[in-house]
Amino acid sequence: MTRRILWTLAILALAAFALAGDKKPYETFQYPKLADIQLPEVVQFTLPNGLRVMLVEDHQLPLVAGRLMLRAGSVFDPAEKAGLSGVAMEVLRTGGTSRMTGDELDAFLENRAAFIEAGSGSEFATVGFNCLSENFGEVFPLFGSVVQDPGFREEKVALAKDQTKSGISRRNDEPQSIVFREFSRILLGKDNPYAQLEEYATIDAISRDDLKAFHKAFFLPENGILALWGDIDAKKVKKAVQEAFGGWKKGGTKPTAYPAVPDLSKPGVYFSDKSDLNQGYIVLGHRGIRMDNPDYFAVEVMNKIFGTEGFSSRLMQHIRTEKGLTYGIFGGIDAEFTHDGTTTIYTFTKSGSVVEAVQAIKDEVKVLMEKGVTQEELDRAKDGYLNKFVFNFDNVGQIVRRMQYYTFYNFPQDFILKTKAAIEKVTVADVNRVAKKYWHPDKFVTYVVGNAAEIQPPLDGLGKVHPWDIAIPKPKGEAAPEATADTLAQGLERMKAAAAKAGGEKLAAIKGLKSALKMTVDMGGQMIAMDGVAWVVFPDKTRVEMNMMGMKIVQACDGQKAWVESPQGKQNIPAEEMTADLKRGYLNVLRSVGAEGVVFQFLREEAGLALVGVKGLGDEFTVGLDAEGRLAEVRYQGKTPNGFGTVVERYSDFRSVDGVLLPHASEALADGAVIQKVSVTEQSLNPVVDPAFFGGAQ
Amino acid sequence: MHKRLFVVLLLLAAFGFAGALDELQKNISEFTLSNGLKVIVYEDHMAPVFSAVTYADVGSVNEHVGITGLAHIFEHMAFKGTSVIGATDWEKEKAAIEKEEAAFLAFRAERNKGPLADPGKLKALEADFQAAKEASKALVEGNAFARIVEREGCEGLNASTSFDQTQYYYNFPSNKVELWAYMESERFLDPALREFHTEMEVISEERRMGIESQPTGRLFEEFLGAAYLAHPYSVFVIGHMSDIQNMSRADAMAFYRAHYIPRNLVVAVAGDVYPEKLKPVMEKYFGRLEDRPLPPAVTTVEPPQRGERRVKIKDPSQPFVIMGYHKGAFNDPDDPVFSAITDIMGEGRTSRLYKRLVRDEKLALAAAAFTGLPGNKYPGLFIFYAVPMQGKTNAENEAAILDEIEKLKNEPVTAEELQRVKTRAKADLIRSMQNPTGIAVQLAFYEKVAGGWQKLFTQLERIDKVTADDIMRVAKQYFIESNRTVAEIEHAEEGGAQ
Repeated sequence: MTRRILWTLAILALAAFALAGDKKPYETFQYPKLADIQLPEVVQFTLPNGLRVMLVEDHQLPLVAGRLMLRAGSVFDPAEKAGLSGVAMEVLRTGGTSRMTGDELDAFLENRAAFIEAGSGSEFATVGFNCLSENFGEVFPLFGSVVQDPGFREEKVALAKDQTKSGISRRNDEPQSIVFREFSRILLGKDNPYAQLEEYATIDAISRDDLKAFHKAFFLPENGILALWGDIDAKKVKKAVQEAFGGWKKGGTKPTAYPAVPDLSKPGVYFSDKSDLNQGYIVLGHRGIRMDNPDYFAVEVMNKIFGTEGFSSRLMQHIRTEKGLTYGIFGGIDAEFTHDGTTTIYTFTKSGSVVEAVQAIKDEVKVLMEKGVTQEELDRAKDGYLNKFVFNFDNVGQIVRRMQYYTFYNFPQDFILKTKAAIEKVTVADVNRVAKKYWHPDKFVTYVVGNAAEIQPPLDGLGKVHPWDIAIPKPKGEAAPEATADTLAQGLERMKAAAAKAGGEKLAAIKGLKSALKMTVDMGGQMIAMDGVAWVVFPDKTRVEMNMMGMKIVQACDGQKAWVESPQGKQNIPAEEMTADLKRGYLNVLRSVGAEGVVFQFLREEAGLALVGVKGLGDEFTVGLDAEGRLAEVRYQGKTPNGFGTVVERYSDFRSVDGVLLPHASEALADGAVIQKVSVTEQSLNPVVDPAFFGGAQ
Repeated sequence: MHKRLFVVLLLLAAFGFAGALDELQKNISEFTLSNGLKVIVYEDHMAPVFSAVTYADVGSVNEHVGITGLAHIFEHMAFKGTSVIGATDWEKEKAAIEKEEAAFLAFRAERNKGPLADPGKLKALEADFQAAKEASKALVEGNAFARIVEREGCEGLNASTSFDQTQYYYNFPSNKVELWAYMESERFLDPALREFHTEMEVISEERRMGIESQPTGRLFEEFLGAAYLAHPYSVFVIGHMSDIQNMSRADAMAFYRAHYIPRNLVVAVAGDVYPEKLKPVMEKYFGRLEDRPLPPAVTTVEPPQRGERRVKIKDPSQPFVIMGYHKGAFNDPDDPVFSAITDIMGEGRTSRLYKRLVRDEKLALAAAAFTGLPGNKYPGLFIFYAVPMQGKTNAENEAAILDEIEKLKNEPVTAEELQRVKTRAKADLIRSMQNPTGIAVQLAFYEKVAGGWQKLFTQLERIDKVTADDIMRVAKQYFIESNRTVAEIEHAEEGGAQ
């Protein structure tokens, strides 16, 4: 009997040991209760002018920081001036105040290792500062002046505009930025304020007056919330806020409503080709939900399980860790305060596995919808959220900024606590319900930026592929008024007269032109002289041989490819520029009068010239006919020493060559300055040239 | 919790910043485990959280031809768990991993015969390898390491590999110290190196993303290759694609054995921790790591450069130009002078490059200078760069930078400029104290690279001593044509690149 008991005890002990042995060490740790979160006291008040203020003391380090949030942003930019808020917020800081130039402001702040910076988002703009507490007394009033009394100095407006345009020229350099930007344009529509892009033309349209108007419309105290935190004494600072912002005049107008974002998306596969990639960058998704949706909390938990919690999420586990298809992947149903958010799944993979990756992602969504999640997954996601919750309160600046943010959107200031309480209650059934409700595979927009030549198997395995153009639109010249039958007839009539004047029927017989010329060209501010010979063979071949300071430079284009050769070597150059030059040249315009697809629209009389818009010869441009009906001017958008802008080419010294009236001198101007002068010493029609003369590109 | 702060405040009033920084140092302590592992602790009980960084004194400089990228590969493998973490049946899995490895080596041997490989055999070997790879995966509890710590509240689980070092980061609620100590020591005690060949595919994607499909990535790879002839700083951290794809698990195991030893690690912890409570926990867990001799040091020295080196990439992206001059390592006496030059030339809107290239001449969208690339431990580069404005060229920007360099050589910088450098250095240090992870990283860096974490604070004195004459002398000595490497992206239309 005793032995038996002992035996039983031994078995029980063994079983207990085995049980403990089954547990891994990390499963046996006992964690002490975490100290309670100590919430800092936030002092809140509203100035008589309506500015809401939040102050928090934090004396750990001798630093003070602040942020003003204002209801202003790119969604309010007029379409024809897209980019206005960005330029305005940049110049708000760089353009100084009425009493201090921007450069003086730079020196004042940097000598104190202090910052004042402004920025613009889509729905709000911010102006912030950060300084050592010993400098607070002088930096804070300056912050007030930057906000209320900006100088918007002209030279900084010009600088910000040029910089923005340079930014536009660089926007297709990196695939990650392309794929998100363009996805949102596909999903929301190019014209939606949330997706609209700044372009050269919209930036060109912005003036200093627009910046002042922007400031007047949006910089109103009742539109703002100011948060201050750090090494401050709340009582003293209250007074400083009153002094710096008390005089800010109330606007008294109703704040502009945020634009609606209707769901206009057309599901399908969209693709942009970029030849320097060896991966495809992929975004797929559809519209999401609003923050005030009662399902928001269940959706958040679902997102964590599915794709927003790094290695703990399914997407990372399956697509990266198990399949090795990518280095990064994330995605979920996104919520926005003012409209349904944008649901996206993002990844990138080598060209050879783009189709496989898209398919794998779609399968994950399908499995989520059909099979839902497990209790273990739900517990893990909730545990992670709750255990990490303390990190929402480990930094005073973060706490007050979050309160400011919720206040801005009229959400409860303690929304984070409400979120926690709601997430604790989310069940598997909730997650499985919202998975079915908010994922819509039939509505997927799948967008890929990649290398068409490499992607194999091809994307059409995913459905019909719509090419998506990401070419950066060139700046528009003057906006031509709507063409009417009358202006078109007038345009054609005037051009016919000009063609008759220049040689009439002889023009049609011209196959090419050879010109010996002397020219001076602006090179980095210096006019450099050169001479040489140019050949043109219509419709698209050109060759120029120039001598510049003893160097021979040859440039040629066979219509498809172009190249330049100098003592530094030979290289290919864009053919489009050379063919565009040829198409809008004097002789080609006149010989194209009456040609199919070429349209002339009379615009107006201006400074002795009749201006005629030309369509159908490449990008649109304008020609000017002088009092004698000669083609005396061409205006187009092209490269200038300052980047891109309007170039005016003026023809003079008209002489007859074999019965055809040809100009023998020209000058090109950009922004009013001469950038090139040409004089022709000899000109002959229809040179005999071997077509190979124009080839030779590598 | 406010007691210590009060002391700090009093001291601030009494001594200004220098005093405050001295006082902050009093919250820092260190201890060394019996196996030689050094632990540095910064106490801050403001919030019940802590940040921890394990700094491994191993980076891509410790690699050689054939195993480039391995330091970074091991960093990835450190997230793959151990024979306990992530294992469902380790004995079975181990056998499957060995089978996978054998199949890989057989496939690799045939593949590397190149044109002489037997196509039929190659196909069969690849199929075997793929099958073995899938079989070993079946026994894994996927991403267990990350899932365990994230479930318990780890925020910002991450790691990074650079030329000089590998670092592993965590932020945890302060009641999870033991879990962290167990997990972190366990992965350096007993790494499973599982899912190895699948992870090489992930790393290949990382390389494509960071270097091959990225204009500046492509440029920097060429730039470093040109700037260094002998020193391993010439190869980018991620390594060559062919090395990644030929790497064996045995290579990674050997590299780990050589470098992941206690004396080669520093652990820095910042936040709500108490050194006296932490010490026994560290002994219990990190004390398990076996003390072994340090690996041989990198002894290759980059020879003096004999002439300017230039690389031009023709690329569909927009122009970009960088210029690098060889300089000394972080501990070189001239290093603080370079810090001052970085600041005067490129920091903020009062800097010389901003004022001239960006603001006045509108040559550049951005132009600045920096040091620390490729690394700090060995002689690195002083780099100038410019992002040309639309319509402006690299050549115009380069000429303007060279002109500014000449001014630096021939005219003393102003007292205002020099004062600004010093004020900013102090403020930067104070600002860096706001972020516990940042503090931990800095303490570990100074401990391993500068010879003691205390140097983080004495660094200010080094900068305070820099004079206008120093700057002229250093500019004249280093910023010379034969010591320069220039790399640029020249815009070529899509498809037109040669």
